Formats: sequence, structure tokens, C-alpha cells
Amino acid sequence: MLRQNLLDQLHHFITTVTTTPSNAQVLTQPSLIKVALNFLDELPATREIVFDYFGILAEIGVQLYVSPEMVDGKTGLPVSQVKQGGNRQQQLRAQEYEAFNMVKTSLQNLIWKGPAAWSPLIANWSLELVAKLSDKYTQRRMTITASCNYWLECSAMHGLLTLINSCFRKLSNTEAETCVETMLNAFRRYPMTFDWIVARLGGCFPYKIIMQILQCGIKRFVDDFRCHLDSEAGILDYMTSCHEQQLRAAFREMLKDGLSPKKPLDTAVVPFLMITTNYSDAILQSLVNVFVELYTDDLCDVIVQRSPLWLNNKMFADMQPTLNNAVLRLNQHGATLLITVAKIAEKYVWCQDFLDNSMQELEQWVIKSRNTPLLADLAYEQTKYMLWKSCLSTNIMEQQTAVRLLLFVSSQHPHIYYQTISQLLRKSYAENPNGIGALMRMLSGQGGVVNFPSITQGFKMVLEDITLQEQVENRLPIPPGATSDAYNTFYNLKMLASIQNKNNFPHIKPQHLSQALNECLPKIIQIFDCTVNKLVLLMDRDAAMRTAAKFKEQQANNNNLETMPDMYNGNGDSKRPKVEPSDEETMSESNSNGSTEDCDAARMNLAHLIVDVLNTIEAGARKNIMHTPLVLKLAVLSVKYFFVGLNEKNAIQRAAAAHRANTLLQRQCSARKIARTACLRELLEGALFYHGHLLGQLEEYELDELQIPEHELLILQNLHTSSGANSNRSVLHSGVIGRGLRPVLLNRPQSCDAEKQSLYLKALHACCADLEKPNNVDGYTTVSLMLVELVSTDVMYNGLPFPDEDFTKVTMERDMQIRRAFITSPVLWAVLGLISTHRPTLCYCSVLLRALCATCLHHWRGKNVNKFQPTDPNDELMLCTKKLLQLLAMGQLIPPPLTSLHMIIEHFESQEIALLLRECIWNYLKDHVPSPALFHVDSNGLHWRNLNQSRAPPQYVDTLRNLMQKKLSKLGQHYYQMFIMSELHASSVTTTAISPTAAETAAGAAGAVAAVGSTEVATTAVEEPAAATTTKVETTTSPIVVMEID
Amino acid sequence: MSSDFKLSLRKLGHPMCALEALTRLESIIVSRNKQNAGMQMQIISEFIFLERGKDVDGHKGHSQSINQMNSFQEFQLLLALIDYFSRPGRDATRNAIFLSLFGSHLTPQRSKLLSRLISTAISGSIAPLLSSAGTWMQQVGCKTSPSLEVAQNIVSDFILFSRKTSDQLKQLPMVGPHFAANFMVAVTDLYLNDQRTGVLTAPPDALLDAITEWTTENPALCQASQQTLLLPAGAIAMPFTTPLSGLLRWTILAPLISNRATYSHLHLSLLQTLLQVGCNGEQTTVLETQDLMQIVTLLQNHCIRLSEAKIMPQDDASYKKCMERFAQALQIAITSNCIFGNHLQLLRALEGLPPHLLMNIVILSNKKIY
Repeated sequence: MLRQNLLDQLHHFITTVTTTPSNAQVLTQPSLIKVALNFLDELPATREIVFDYFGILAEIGVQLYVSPEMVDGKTGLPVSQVKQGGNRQQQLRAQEYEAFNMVKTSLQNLIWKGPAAWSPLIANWSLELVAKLSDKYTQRRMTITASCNYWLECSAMHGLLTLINSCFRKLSNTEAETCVETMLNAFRRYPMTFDWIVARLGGCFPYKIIMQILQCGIKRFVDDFRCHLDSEAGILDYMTSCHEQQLRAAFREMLKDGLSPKKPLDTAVVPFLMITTNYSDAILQSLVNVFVELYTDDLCDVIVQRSPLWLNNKMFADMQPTLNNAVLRLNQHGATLLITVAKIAEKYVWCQDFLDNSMQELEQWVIKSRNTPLLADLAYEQTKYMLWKSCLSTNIMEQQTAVRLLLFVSSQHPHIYYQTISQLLRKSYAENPNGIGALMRMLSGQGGVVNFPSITQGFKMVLEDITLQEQVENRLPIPPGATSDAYNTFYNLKMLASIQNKNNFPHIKPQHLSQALNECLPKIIQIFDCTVNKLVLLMDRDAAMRTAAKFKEQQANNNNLETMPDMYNGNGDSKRPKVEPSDEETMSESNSNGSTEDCDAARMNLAHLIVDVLNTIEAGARKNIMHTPLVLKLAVLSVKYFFVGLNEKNAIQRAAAAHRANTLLQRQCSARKIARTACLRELLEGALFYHGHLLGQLEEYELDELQIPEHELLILQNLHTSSGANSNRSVLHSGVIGRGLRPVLLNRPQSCDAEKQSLYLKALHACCADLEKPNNVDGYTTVSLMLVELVSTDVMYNGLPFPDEDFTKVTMERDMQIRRAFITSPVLWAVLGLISTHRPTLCYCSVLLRALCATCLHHWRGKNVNKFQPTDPNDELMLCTKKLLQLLAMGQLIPPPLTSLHMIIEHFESQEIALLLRECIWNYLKDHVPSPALFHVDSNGLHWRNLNQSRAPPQYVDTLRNLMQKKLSKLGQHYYQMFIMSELHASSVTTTAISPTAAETAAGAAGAVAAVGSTEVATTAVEEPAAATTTKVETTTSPIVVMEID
Repeated sequence: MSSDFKLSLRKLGHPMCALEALTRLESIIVSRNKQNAGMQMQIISEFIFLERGKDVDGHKGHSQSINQMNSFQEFQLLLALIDYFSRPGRDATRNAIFLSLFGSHLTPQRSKLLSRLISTAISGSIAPLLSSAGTWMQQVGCKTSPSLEVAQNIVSDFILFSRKTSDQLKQLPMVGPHFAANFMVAVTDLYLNDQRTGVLTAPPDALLDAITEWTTENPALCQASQQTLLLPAGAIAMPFTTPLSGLLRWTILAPLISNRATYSHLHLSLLQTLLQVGCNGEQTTVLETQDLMQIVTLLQNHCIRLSEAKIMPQDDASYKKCMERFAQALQIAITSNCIFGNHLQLLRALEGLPPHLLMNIVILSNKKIY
């Protein structure tokens, strides 16, 4: 009978359990367990004893788990899965060990599928049981994680926790509340052994548990502030790993109370939380996260206001030292915290203390190259950006803190150092001059750390960026008024370098910065290259447009003018309209795109800055090792910069730019020969071909400016008329009949020419001057040789000697072309002038002089004898002759009294001039080959020719004497000076010993040019041998030599 | 003699001594020796409930430490009790023993044991025990706390913790009708009664289903409590109560919190029961006016709550339904002459409720009679 059967079963069950309470084998019989489970359905009254029985089963499992019997002999760990391992005896006990699993399965079934009433019952029962078992069988204190791992290996414990977990999911709110209460009660009873369960199960109601634990802790804390909060902290720590959000929410809630206390307990909140953070980094981190989130300036005031309340707590008052270490333990927001403190440090002393202590501590860590979580935080991307921002702050404290933090982290993460340097360099410190302090501090690095990263890499980084920015046009639009990164960077570099040069840089090792920058030279040069080339392109484009506009104007005027202007006499017509101003206006209008102009101006400024930096770091100096391509590139760029600088708007800027360029050129050229050659070539080619327009060069015509049809071209027509000696000399023809003369552009007088030429000459001088050997003329020799190469079109007959005058017919065409070169590029005169003062280098230009002389001779001779034409003092031919004579005199190629010929030449008729040129000049030069052999080298290494000793033989002078005697009324004064005085003097010289002073006197009589020459000789002690001469030539012609007297 | 007896009992182990003690008790009760009342209590306490330490007699003056049985011992005792009550014997004696075990000195321990005992008896369908339990309930009063506790425990055992309504519970009216009726009285007091908890709590669905099934299938169940009690001579039987009034309260108030159809079924079966009572023709006190007045009070409370929420009670559908059911029941009860007490007072109280058409008709028609 069923009913009776049930009672019998009950009887049997009770007897078994009560009579054999310790016989695990009997108790764990599956049949018995089945009976018990059946009771839950059939005999509800027995619920309690059935659960008691289950408790016994669980205990048996736990007992087995902890007993040494079940320890694996090899590993020393409990045999967890007995079925798989263990010895025979252990296998025998497997059934007992696993008995609880059956219970667990059925109970779980009940929880999931049975009535709701089961869940709270089972939950409470399991909790109590777990608490009891854990307390009873824990042998030693373990950390929460270790406890979890240890106990969850045990199948019974695991089963119980699974049950609790399942129950918790099914509980209603109020039931859950009770369960939490049960759990916490158990926790209070067994705080040492129950913590892992709370931590483990806390995950089901994280917020509730966390809040309760905190409340629990704070109550204990208030009762006794010395209490140990290990368990609470342990639980929170454990739960933080998965439930940080809830922990934060709880902290937020508590802080809300703590910061505006309403009840007495609230005043303990902040001290309590602070104490708790000492136990665990994770808790500290969460609290800080919450705090950073909550923090506002108002909150700061609140904290200050409330702090006395907290200080009442003794523990809190004593805990400042521990607080100082706190920030080092932060994985996140540590830097934010420090910066926040730094921001208010000026106001509060305690902030300073905190900051000082923390930073010192951190420094110690860094110096010992150990790791702390804070360093990881510092290396974090976001932190980096924040610190960079702080570096630019006007608050010194904040700035310094940020810099120090960055330095700390840099010692372990070099890339941050590089990036920081790169970032700080590209900022503008115009508004916050103190800001550059951060950069300086940064560059000086962190003391006491081995292998601290070098600054070079940082420079390279920023320069790389800038290169990209400069190369790619308008990659990022720069807001108006802002300066570009490139500008800022170079400005800052210049600033730093110059500060360092003045030795005002206390932190950084001398030469450190320059050295680093020199290492980055290729990059700087790349940027420079990009910038300067753009400027050059722009300049050339502008020039081309200006020329084109001028030609149009000219063409329009061409037919209206009654008298065609002489090609060689551009300024003959005074009515020539001034085109320049309007041209410039149109230029600026056509180009009046404001932004581009701004952009160009900015680029120009950048170029200036780069050159400044290069000068400050002495780029290209001999001590810096450079590869040849780089040397050449720098040389070329320097020259380009010089030309670009000439294009500046006003004279002061031009002078400044030229000064910079000269410094740069001089340094390079005196350091390396190859640089000198390259610079000089560039300068000359630039002046003659590429950038001639800057130096008053006549604009080249475009091919079709006369719109001559191809078949009418002179060169083609001449091919047809192939008869006569000059059939192949197209240069003798002067144009196509019917189309008029070529339009000639008025390019003189330009006021800027003199100034620009002088700047140009200074640049040449800078290249040639040798600082160590002031009298070395190698540079000038190079110039003159190069001039020959560039101006003379022929490879033949380029030697020094002057041939017979007749022979000039052979070279006439070449000579004309050379002459033409001097017309189109007036700057050549100036260059020759410069060369002439550095004897004997003018000799190498003999071929040019010869060409000029020959053409002049021919032209004077060719003047129409029948028709008298008064020679205009400004006539091109006259000027050319005069300049030639001046040059020869200055270069000491002709002796006195011929040296004074240029002053009186204009008083002669054209035939007379031709005669003079032939008899006096050409013949003299033919007989006295202008070669360096004529010159003596004195003890100072200076070349000069004592013309007093080598006076011109009479056959070269007599013609002049006769002609002058004819015009004695006009030239009496000159005659006296040239002939009488020098002869008187010469006779006295012969009597006395020849000495420099005597020479000086003689030269004084001989004329201005010669006087200068002898002054040089006399004052060889002067460092700069290039004594300047300002030859006063009539009115507006460009001066031959324009050298300032220092 | 008694010490000898005690010694002999002490020699026995626990469950055995309880059984012996019960036999002994039986004889004492039968002998109706008044002096033995103290002895009776001692035996019960010491040998049955093991409430006194075994060494109490040996060491007089030692504090009377109360020993708690563990739950397994409890069940051993429980099995012994079941064993005893299942023996053939006079009902009156059994009832007397039951009453002496649980009638007075009902400590929490004993009360727990009692609940378990009855629960086990239901599970095991032990009729004699249930019959005694029914008597016990009536004697201590169905609405007193011991009875209510027992009822509550049975409800949680068989309803709340049960996956399905157990057969034993379904068959309870057949096995122990008297107990079932008294159980119903107690259980009706637990639910839908805001005087106990302050809110109207609906009975668990399974419980409602079970009770509806009981009343529908056993129309006479509600009068089962009217059985004559088998008590030992000299004992005074307590007045019986029927579950009708309580169940009526359930069905009348149910619309306020639930609209389960089961309530209508229950209502119908109640009305039928009332009719049947009327058909018997005898004057019975099935319904007390006091109980009906309780319903009126509950309804009034509800009306106050409604008007606080700015709802006219007359327009409230659930209230109307309540009044309809109330009116039906009232009319039938009056017609069947089942109401005991002051009819006029009841009718006046009803008039105090917000007016309802059917109820007004019922009131008017009945006022004429009185």
C-alpha cells in the first residue's frame, strides 16, 4: 500500500540517518538520496530533515575534499575529479564525494521549474550551509581569489554556490533583500571565512552588496577607527574586477553623502573611503575615477570647507603620508589628479606638499627604473594629450608638473619624449612667453637616468611633419592670424639656439642642442629646399609676368614714338612712359588673392627663420661632418635664399636677408672648397641667367616679340646670301627692314640697382673671403675664371695675351657678344670691379677686357668722321670705355699715368679716343700680358705691382701726352697731375730709397684709383683687404664698384 | 509506582519510550484520576517531547534545562505518534490523548511538531489522526493562533511548495471531513481578510481550486463540522463553526482583487449548500450575522478607498459585482433561514452601503418581514 509504504520509507530514512550518522558510505547511497528527494514531493512535512540530510551530504563532500586522503600524491592538490584520477581508494570514495551532485541537480530542477516558494528557502539554506562549511573547514587564511579557487574545486561547494546563484535569479526584490541580509549576517558572523562567498555571490546583486559592504565597513570604522577592514576591502577588490560600474555608483552615492553630511555617520565617509583605498589599488582606482568625474571647482571649495570635519578623525589626520603614495598606485587618471592638484597648488599649501611628495616619490621610482601603475597611466594616449595641453598652461605650477611627468614617463617610453618635443616645438609662444620654459625644461631631460632618450629624435619627428606639411600644399587650412607649425618650430628653435649660444641655458649641456640640430640638418635642408624653391618659383613667375606686361606696353608704344629709341641708349628718350608703377599695381591686383599673399609672406618669414636657425647652429661649419650632396644642396639653397631675399619689399628687409645669407655663405665657403665653388657658380649663374632681373638685367626678348615670320628670320635669310666675308656674321645686321628696331626696354636708372648690386657684391665677397688667410684670393680667382666661362661663348682664344689689333677681326663676333652681355647684365661691371680690387685675379678675365677693348676701339673708330656728333657723356660707348679704363687702372693692369685716363677720356673726340685706346691701352696690354706674373707677392701674401718702378714706356704714353697738350687749356690740371707731378716725384724717388710711404705719395699724385691701391699696400695690417672705392662717376650711371667702407 | 514507571521508561530509547508513555497516558486518562493530571503533564513533557533533561530527577535543584529535540528525533517521535494513533481503539480516547498532547502548553516546539504531524497525516491519509486533529481544532477554536498556524503550514506544505496539488489533499474531505471543514474555516480567515494583514490577500490559486473542488464534490462538507464531537466523558464540546461565512466572504470580495472564474464556481456551490441547508428544514446556525457584518465592514472600507481615489462606488464594476453576489447570498440565506442573529441590524448596516439596485430590492423585501 502506497501510504504505508511512504511511512515505511520515512521510518527507514530516519533510522538510517540517525543510527549511522558518520557512515558516509551508507548515507550516500543513491537509493537513500532518491527516497529523500521523493519526500520533497510526497511528504512535504519532512522538508526540514531532508534538507538537513542534504547538508550532511554536502559536508561529507567537503570533508573528503579537505581530507589528506583525497590529496593527489604527486601534485599535493586535492583530487578534484576523482573519476579521472586518484588511486583505488580514492576512486572508491568518488561516489561519496560526488553524492551531492545528485541533490544539486534535483534542487536546481525545483528552482527552475517548481513553485516560486522554493527559491528563497533553498537560497537561505545554501547560504547558511556554505557559511557553516566554509567556516568549519577553512584551515588557513587565504586571499579571496585563492579561496574562490580552492573552494570552487570542491564539487559540493560548487554545487551549493550554483544553487544559490540559480535561486538569486528567481528571487523577487523583497526576497532578494532578505537573502542579502542573510548573506551579510553570515558575513558578520564569519568575517574571515565568508568573504569569498560574498565576493563570489556579490555578482548577483553587485550594487546592493557593495553598498551594504560599504555601510557595514563604515559602521565598524566609526566604532573603532583602528579596525581592520581586510575582508570588506577584499570583497570590494574582488568585485571590482567585474562590477566596477556598481562600485563607482556606490562611491558616488557615498561621496554625495560624505561631501554634504546630514547625519553624524556621513562625516566618517571620506576618511573611511580613504582608509579603504589603502587596502586595494582597484578600490583606489575606482574612487579616483569617481572623484575625477565629480570634480569641479565648486567641489574643491566644498572639500576645503568640509575638511575640518574629517580631520576630527584621528586616522585620517595621520594618513597623509599614505595619501602621497596613493597617486603612484593609480592606473588611470593619475596624471589628471596631479595636474588638477597643480592647478590649485598656488592656493593651498597642502596641495604643494602633496605634489612635492608625490613627484619626489615618483622620481625615485623612475631613477631606480622600476615600474609603477602611474607610469602606465602616463604612457596612456589620452594622458599624453592632456599633459601637452598643460605644458602650455600659463599656470607655472601646472606647466612644471606636466613637464616633470612627461620627463618621468619619457625615461621609459622614449617615443613620448620625442612626441612631446615635437608637439611643444610647433606651438607658438607669442602670447605666453613662459611657455617656452616648458620646452627648455623638456629638452634638458631627466637627470639621473641612464640612457635617457636624446632630443635629436624629437627634432627629427617635428621636422618630418613640417616637411610633409610644406610639401603638401594646404594640407590643413591655417586659421587666419595663426602661425604655421613650421614657423613656430623654427622660431622656437632659433630662440632656443640663441639662448643656448648666450650660455643662458642652465640645464642643458653646451653644444647639445646645436649638435642635435646639426644631426637633423638633412631634414632642415629639405624644408629649406621646399620653402626656398617655392619662393624662387613665385619670384620668377612674378618677374616673368612683369616683363610680359612691360613688353605689351612697349609694343603698344612702339609705333607711336617718333624717334625710335636706340637699343644701346635706352634712356635717350625722356618721354618714355613710366610703366613700372602701374605694372606693379596690376601685378598686385592680379595677384591680390589675400591668402596667397599672406601665405607667401609667411613662407618668406619661414625662410628667414630657417636661415637664422642655420646660422645659430653654425650649419655647414667645418666641425660638422656633412656629406657632399648635402654640402652642395645647402650651398645652392643658400644662394637661392640670397636671391629670394633680394626680392623683399624694403631695403631694410633686403639688407637683413642679405646679411643672413652672407653669414651662411661665408661659413660654408670658408669651411669647404667645394661649397665655395658651388656658391660662387650659383651666384654668378643666378645673376647672369636666372635672377638677373633683380640686378637690373635687361629683360630678354621673347622670340616672337616682333612677330617675325619664320622665313623672314635673319639667320635664315643670311643662309641664302652666302657671299662676302661677313656672310655668316648675322650679328652685324641690325634687324629686319620694315619692322623697325627691336623695342628696347627702359631698365635704367633703377634706384634699387645700386643697393641690390652692393648686396650682391657683398654676397660674392662673403663667399670669397677667407677668414683665416685674409689675403688669399683663390675665391676671386674662381670668380674670374667662372666669369670667363659664363660670359665668353667661345672655347678658343680665351688666353690671357692680347693679340695684334688686327686679329680682333677674327674674334669680333664673340667680342660683340661679350660686350652685349655687359650691356644686358650691368652687374658684370660691378663684379669685375670687385675682382679688380683683389689683384691679380682680374688677369684671368683678360679675354673679357680684350673683348670690351676691341669692341670699343672698333666703335669709336667707326663713328662717322664727316658728321660731327658731340659725344654724350652718358653714351653707352663712352660709359663702357670709361668703365673699362677704370677697371684696368684698378686692377693695376695699366701703369700711371694711363691710370687717370678714364677721367679725361670724355674730353676727346671719337677718333682721338680710338687712337688712345689703340696706342696706349691695347698696345701696352699686348706687350705686357696681363698675367699674375706681373704681380709680386709681398710678405703678407698680398699681390701688388709697383707701378712706380714699371712706369709706362714712352711709346705708350706719348700719344696721350700729345693729345693732352693740344687741349691743355681744358686739361691742364690733369696734365700737371699725370705727367709733371709724377715725373717730379719719380726723380725724387730715384734719389731716395723706395719705400711704401714713397709709393703712397706717388700714388696720391697718380689719382684716386691708384691711390686706393697703394693705400692698401701701405696698410696691410688691415684685416679686410678689400678696401672700398667709391668712384664718383658722373650722374646716374651705375657705379663700377660699390663697396662700403667699414 | 510512578518513579518505577519512569525508570522503566528511561531505560527505553527515545522513540520507544514515547510509545510506552502514550500507552501509559491512555490508561491514566481512562482512569480519570484527577490527581494524575500533573503526572500526565510530566510524562508528556519528559518522555514524549523530551523537554526535560534525563538527569533532572537525579540532580534535583539543577536548573530545568530544556532540551530541544533535533529534527530527526522529532520525526522519530512523529512516527511513534502516527503508529499510536493508527492503532485500533476508541476515538474518544484518542481525541483525549491528542488534546492532552497539544491542547495546552503549546510551546513553539510542540506547535511545530503538531504541524508536521498533521501534514504527515494528510500525506499518509491517516484518518484517525485527522479525525483527532479535527476535534482538536474545534476545541481550541478554528480561528485561534494554533489552528491558524497549522492551517498556514498545511497550505505552504501542500500548496506553496508543491508542484501539483497532491492527491492526498484532494481526498482530504473523504479521509477526514471534520478536519477538512475546520481547516477551511481557519484557511478562510487567513486570506481576503484585511483585519489580519491590512490588505486583501488573495488565496493561492491552487488552494482556491482545491477548496472549490471540495465544496462542489462534497456539498455536505460545510456542515461536517457539525458532527458531534467524540470526547471523553466530562469534557465540554466547543461550538462549531462552518466555513460557509468565510467562503462567502471570499466569493463576495473576490471581484475586488481577482476575476478568476473559480470564484463563480465556488459561489454557486456555496449557494447550493445554503439552499440544501434550507431544504433540511431544521433551524441551523450556519451563518452568523457577525460574520456577515464583517463583510459589510470590509466593503465599507473598500468604498472609502474608492471615494478617496475619486471614484463613485456605484459606478465601480467590481463593487457592483460584489454587491450582486452579496445580495444573492443574502436572499438565499434569509430564505433558507440560515442566518442567526439580529437580522434588522444587518439590514440597516447594508443600507449604509452605497446603494445597489439588487441589494435594495433584497433589503426592501426582507424589511417587510421583520
